[in-house]
Amino acid sequence: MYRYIIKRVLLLIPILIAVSFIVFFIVDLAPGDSIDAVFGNELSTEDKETMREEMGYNDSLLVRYARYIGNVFKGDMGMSVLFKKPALELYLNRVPATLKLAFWGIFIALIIAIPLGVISAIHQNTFIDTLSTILGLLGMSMPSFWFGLLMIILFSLKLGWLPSFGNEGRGSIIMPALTVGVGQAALLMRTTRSSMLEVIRQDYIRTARAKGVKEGVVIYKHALRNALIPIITAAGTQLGIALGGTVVVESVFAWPGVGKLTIDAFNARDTTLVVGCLILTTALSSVLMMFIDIIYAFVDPRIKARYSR
Amino acid sequence: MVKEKLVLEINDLVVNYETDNGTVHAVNGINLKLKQKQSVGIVGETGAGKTTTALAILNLIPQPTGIIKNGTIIVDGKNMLTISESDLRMMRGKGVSMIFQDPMTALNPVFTIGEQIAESVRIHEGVSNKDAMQRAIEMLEIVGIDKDRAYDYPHQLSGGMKQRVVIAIALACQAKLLIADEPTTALDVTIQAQVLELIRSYREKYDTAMILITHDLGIVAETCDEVAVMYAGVIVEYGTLEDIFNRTKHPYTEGLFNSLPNIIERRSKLTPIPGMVLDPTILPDGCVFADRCSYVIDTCRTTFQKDIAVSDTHIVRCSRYQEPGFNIKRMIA
Amino acid sequence: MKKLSYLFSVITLMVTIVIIGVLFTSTEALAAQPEGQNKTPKDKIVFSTRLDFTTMDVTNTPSTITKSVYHSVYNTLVEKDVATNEIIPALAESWTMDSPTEYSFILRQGVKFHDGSDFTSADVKFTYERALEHNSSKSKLASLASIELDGDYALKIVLKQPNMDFLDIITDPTLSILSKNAFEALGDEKGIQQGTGPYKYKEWDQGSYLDLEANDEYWGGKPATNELRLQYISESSSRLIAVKTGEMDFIQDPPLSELANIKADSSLKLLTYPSASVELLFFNTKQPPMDNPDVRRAIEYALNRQDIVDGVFLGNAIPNNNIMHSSNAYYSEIESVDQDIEKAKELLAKAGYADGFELTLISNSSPDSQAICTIVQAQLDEIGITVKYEPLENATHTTVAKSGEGYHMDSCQWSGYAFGPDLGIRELIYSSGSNNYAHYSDAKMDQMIDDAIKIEDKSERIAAYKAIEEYSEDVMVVYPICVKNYTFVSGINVEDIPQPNGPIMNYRNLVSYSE
Repeated sequence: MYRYIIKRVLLLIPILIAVSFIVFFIVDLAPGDSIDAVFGNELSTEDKETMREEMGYNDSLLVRYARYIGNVFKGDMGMSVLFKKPALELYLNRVPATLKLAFWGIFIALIIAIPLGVISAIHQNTFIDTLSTILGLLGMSMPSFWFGLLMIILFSLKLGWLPSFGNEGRGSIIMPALTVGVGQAALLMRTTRSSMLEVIRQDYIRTARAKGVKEGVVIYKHALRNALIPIITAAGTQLGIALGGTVVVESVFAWPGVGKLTIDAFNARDTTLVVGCLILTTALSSVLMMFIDIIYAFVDPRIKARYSR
Repeated sequence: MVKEKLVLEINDLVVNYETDNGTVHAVNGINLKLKQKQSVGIVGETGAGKTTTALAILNLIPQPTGIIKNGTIIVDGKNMLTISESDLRMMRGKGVSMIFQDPMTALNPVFTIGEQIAESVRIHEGVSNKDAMQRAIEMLEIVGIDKDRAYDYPHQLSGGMKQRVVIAIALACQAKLLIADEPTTALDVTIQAQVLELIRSYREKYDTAMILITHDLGIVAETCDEVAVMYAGVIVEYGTLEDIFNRTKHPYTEGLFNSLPNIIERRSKLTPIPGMVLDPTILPDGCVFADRCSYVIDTCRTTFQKDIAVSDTHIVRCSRYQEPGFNIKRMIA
Repeated sequence: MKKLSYLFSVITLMVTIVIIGVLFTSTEALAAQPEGQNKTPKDKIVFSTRLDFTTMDVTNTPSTITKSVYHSVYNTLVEKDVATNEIIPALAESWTMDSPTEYSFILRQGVKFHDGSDFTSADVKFTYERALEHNSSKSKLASLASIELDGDYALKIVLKQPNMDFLDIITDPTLSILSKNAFEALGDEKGIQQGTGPYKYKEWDQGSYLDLEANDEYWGGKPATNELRLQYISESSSRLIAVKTGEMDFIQDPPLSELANIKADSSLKLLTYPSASVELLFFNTKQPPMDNPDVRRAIEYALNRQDIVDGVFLGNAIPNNNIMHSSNAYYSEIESVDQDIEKAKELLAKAGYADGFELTLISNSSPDSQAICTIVQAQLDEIGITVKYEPLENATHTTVAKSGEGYHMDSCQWSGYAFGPDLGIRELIYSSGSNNYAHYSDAKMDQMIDDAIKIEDKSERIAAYKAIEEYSEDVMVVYPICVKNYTFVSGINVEDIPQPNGPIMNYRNLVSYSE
């Protein structure tokens, strides 16, 4: 297992180098640079040109990239042109809020999705199944912007129960997490349903029933545990996406996550910050995926056996 | 007349599967009685309704497609089809337990084999986890698996060991009735014998009644007191080992024997039963075997003969036995 | 199984309740709180603007929200009275213009920076020299030749050439006076955070909020409100709800579509001021047929400002026919042509485009610009001009507009009018102007602009700018449309938010009363 983890971490390095180069290249392709985007009309053309020269913007892409990656290996991820702060500091400042939102979001998604998916599967093609499917579709097709605002109107404005913005105080996580969670629940519910449908037809479920095991235990212990791998995979993917930032939810609830930071950075053509954000998000997601793989091993002993080889 | 207590009594059981291609008539009115210690072998081709009958006894017909249309199944005095959920759970594993066909898929891959045996013990014996595990380890030893393997997962075991685990689960709570569905198909011949011996000694110890489902007539001969020959959801012939093997009456049973390799005359050709198995979605008016039967007469195609008692122990469903002096050609001894 | 069904019912019920509750919830506000008898200022005011505070690096940002914060944390040498457009004392108590290139300042005594150090003339010299070292601020002080200190509380500034906008320029919060001692004692990062203003930095959670606390020692008197929080909420609907719930004392820029509801809501106050920016259309004179004055004039005849004001801004803007912003002291009323489709067609025919032609219109990603372009498209269609509209992302827009390639017309905003008349006009229409998206080059125009900056007499100078404004209308390379309003929504207990100085908001005297 440890060897497996070390292998994964080492594999991360080339991935991050590739990601950083691709992002560097793409940001470079987009017209405009941070000097124009940030300073716009404030500076004369000559002043901007001097700045570009000083900041090395006129060097070729490869030279700039080599310089950047060289600094990264020295532990320096560069300064944001927009915020005049180290990219690493800006990113790390946002990470706790993003993690909080992502994990609560997926938690809520799973709490909704697993029971609904299981119930759909055991009542396949009945009214209950159809109703769950409709609820799932509703959750998936409901724009999170709209759903978020309606919740704010109900819970903050009408009832006064929850704060309408920010990441402070009691209950501030509830509505953002619900918005993220409801959106993710639909896919997870469908995954749970199809995975469960496959598992409850397996012979070992019949074996369990033949032993006299209670139906609830059959479903939630014997079947669900076996159905978990696809669910965990889907949840991990959703979580990975959420770690990159949930821009709409962050905007609606003024949630200080990495998504808005990345978008703001890109709009300002703040290459250093954009590349920094994406490298760090990739690293974060990779670590997450590694955890997911480790969770697999705990859920399914066959996978665990494979890792130790 | 003292009525002997029956472990199992099946009356006129009819089981259908509602599929997209129509209604599959899996079991079409079978009757079966089983006393304590008694063992009956159910033989027949794949699709004859043997496993469906077994699952019906446990009230485990796959839902929602499987429907028990008719009949009663009494195990140890309780009607398995009408008792409450919780009574049914108590009967499963304790009243009647089953050894499933395919050991590769019958075990849950994410739990240790010890846990899977212990679960049954815990449910039915009301003992602590620790005691249940102890019992599971004993069971493993009984079926010949080292106790150290109790904490192994199914994927760490060979096919033969898995089958032993499946057997250990079925035997764990000393059920009154044991259903063994092809318990040895997945095993090689030497292990087959061991497994059968295991079951036999266990039954002797606990006076367990048994239904053995197989298409291997040899195993039936070794293990069972009585034999039910099933074809297309119907028991076409029923009798003691003697009755079936030496006084074969039904043309289908004859066909089964003819299709066995002849050990004495090794050069003789195998004689397969001509024709195809009946389309299970069509239930004919006449005899289910009529289309493949070499003794067929017109009556066979219009009416399906009820049971004819050839002797006290021997029943056959074939209208030709209405004719005095009729017999099939197979004559042994 | 029964338990599962039960659980399922509960979940379904809960989801249904939420959905029904949400669907039947309208946006009516909560009942207004009755106004109390004893008004006491609240300790803390929370507000939100459209954009985030970006940096504490004073000399180094164009962000107007950020500059507005500087206005509360720091002082400049002189400031501007928004009501009269006059330059008023701040850290300089008085000043004289000894010659067109020489200014003498007498500084205020007893002023302390937030770190406790005294404000002296050395700090002014330090600040301006530091600004000259930074590319992002040096052009503002391009005309500065030298600073001569005359003791701790007097100094003389010498310019390279006359610049009658000099005093206006140094009101820019990016030229706020910094403490030389603080830089030396605390280092650059902490040093730059020490101002002399009524508020000091308390806590900045980047991306979330910026907390300011009152400076008890402020030379102009301690502010009424003890703490200010600038909260970043980028979504306008969310901002509006936050002020409705009372979590915010006031917000800027609610959704325009909600203006009518806000006006009708007795628990809210709506306040509007003309914004700093003028919506403009540029004719790219490098791109034929936009080099033809008749074509440009024809388009001017085809357009109608009021339609845009009503259609895009729902009336929440003021038509502006002048390249100068109406709030600038050097703005004059000038004549311009009204919509006249016949006249427009006539001019097009004269230019050889009787059957019209196709042109490309670009804009930045501002929703306002995009809506303006749609209306322009419809209006030009009337005279047979087919408009191909290409909205561009902001940074892309800047690059394309500067290149002068691939577009005939451009829609964007310009807001350089806050620090004197010169910058606003020069960058727009001077041949080397940074925002000259018309790519217009006219020696006469350049000369007029260069002359106007040197005129000492105010009324003469006003006349000179009027001439420039009229000449711009004559050549019609930039079509000014309107000035959008800034809108503020506050609770009824919040005192009116002061009028901003151009794009710089004044947060110094915010007061909200609690009952």
